[in-house]
Amino acid sequence: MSVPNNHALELCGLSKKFEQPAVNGLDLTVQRGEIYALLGANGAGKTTTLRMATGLLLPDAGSVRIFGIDLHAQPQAAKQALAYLPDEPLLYGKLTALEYLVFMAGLWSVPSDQAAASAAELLALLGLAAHAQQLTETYSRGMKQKLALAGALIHQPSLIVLDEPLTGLDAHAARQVKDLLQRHTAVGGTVLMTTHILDVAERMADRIGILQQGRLIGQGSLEQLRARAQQRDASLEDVFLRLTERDNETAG
Amino acid sequence: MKLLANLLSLRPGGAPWLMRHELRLFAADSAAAVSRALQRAPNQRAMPAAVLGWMVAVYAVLHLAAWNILPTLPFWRPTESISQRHLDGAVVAVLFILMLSAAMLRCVHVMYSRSDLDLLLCSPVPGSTILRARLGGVVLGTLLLALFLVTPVIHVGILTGRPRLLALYPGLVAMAMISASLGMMFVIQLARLIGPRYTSLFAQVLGTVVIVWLCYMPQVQQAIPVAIKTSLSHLLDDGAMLGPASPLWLPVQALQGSPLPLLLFCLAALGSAQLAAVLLQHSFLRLLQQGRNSPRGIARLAFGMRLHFGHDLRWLLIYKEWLLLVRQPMFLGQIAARFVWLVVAFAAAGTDSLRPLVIAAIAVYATAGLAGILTRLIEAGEAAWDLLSSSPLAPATISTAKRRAALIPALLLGVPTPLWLGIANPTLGILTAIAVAGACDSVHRLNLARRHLPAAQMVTSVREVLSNGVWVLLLLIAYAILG
Repeated sequence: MSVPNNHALELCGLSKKFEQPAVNGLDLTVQRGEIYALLGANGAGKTTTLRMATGLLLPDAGSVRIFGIDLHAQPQAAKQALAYLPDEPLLYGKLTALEYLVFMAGLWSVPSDQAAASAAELLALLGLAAHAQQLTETYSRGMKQKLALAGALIHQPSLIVLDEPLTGLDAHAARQVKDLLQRHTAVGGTVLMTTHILDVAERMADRIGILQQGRLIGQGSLEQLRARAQQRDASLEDVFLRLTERDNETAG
Repeated sequence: MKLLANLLSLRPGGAPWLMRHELRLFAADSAAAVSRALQRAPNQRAMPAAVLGWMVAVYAVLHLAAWNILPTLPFWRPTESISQRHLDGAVVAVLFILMLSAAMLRCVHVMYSRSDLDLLLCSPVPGSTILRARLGGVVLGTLLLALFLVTPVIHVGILTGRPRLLALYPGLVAMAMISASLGMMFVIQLARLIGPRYTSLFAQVLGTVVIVWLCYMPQVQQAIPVAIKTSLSHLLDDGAMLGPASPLWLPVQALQGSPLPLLLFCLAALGSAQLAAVLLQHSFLRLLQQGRNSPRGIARLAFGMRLHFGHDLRWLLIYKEWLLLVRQPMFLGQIAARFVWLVVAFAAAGTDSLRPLVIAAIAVYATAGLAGILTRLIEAGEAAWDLLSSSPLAPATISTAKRRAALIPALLLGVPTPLWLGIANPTLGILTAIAVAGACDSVHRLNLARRHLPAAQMVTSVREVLSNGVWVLLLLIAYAILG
């Protein structure tokens, strides 16, 4: 009898070096059904981590398991449950929104009639229904970001990995995206995201990880991070700055 | 049977389904390229009627050109002679290199420039399926281009007593498969070493060298020393590498319409596609990653130019334009292409009294053509017009700096020609210098005028050619009077 795995994502000893080490022996676990926010300064290794977690970048060392399945040993099976939304939305300018969503669904082998229904529902939820037949090259930045999110959700992934999902969105669009992500976790989905907007992480995330020079220097709920930073009632911004400064001092 | 069923059903996520997606993107890219040339709005869907109309018109013109030119050409005549095979072999070799160059450019586009691979690679579609679909897309892209350019010759050939040209239909399919397979392997390996940008440049130069060689073929043949010609002709002797019985002639025999070689050639093409897919499928992601990461230094290419405070404002602007230019993928390719034209022109212009004039005319066309491209790159690459306009710089300062940034590199490339001509014939040297400078300035103004009076790129290109023609004519008239 197989034991149900409670981990949506497990990164063990993950390392990647370009000109300098980008990610350095990272161990990180995301539980099923939670929203996990990965924070870090520019160049801390967040995007590299996400790209390795989604199989877009081969790590120099370490392993990635998605719902217990080794990503490198069984990539097709592991990616079946996964969706990735990069910081720059990857859209085909010469496809309409509907065509794009049907194509995205096709990549996960969703039948086209089912894909069309899901696409219509997602477009309506994100306020894009009126633009469904428009080429995506005519979309604004916010519309593109929302459409890319719809593309990530169309096959109903169990784990969605988002790199700066709220960048460039106005307040209304940001609210729509946040609602959609919370809806996703409410039905058992898991979210791993990076963000520079600490307020969003503070309000949305169940757990937060802080990455510094490719290492995890702190993780847990906001309360746990406050305790670690010895700053009771402090905002996430204060906690983040305290922990990263302390790490810099230790390293220096 | 299962494979056939999958092929017919276009199951989502399968290789045929992805290939259909590739084909759709190829059609959209092609339509967008033609739309850009016709200066149409970029957001029009699919293949607008005007684009199709233009393509049909160009196709008809190609038929007309083939009708006029083919009877004068010695290729694919219905004879079995060895010399006929050599002639046709030269055409096959040129065609293959051009198709390889086109396939490599397409490979760079679909593997590196289009940046949609991440979308596919994070899906459960196997990497090998993605690779096969991309390869299929490159085959189709290369084949459609070749068919568009070559089928008019086939059709005219059939009507004018060269039925063996019909073998080019299956032959082109096979050549497209081989060139795409080789192209994919070259591109992925080359990109690891020199990065996608220089790989693209390599492919452009490869194509240009062949086109230039084609244009100057008779002169190049004359320019080859007798000793080299003799040793090359030994390669064609009985038992030599390219002797009559050599298997290297199989592709030529196939394209000449011999049934068995044609069948073998088609099987070899299928084999090459399969081989490329098998060789690359396991290392696909790693090689791609290495290719993406390898050209880190190239993005900072500066050729010693540095922007710093204290520069004269005009030179600050000019340096900025040049820095942007040298980091443009098209720039180095265009410089290299012009350089090849000039070098071959010098080598192949013959030894008769017309040689200096031919060289002068080529210098005018090559230099002014480069000036036009640089103007377009500078205009298109200016991402901060509002920033410049809101600065205290006078508009005239900006436009002067941009003109100099476009014209100086072109004139630097063109200046050795009048100098070299001027050593033997000062009058011709001076007249060539004036013609080169005048043609560059005219082309620059023609391209600037597009900003205010939008004309199709095709129309501007025709105007450029006419303008250069006028300058060459003026040069010839002046030389006839003064020289």
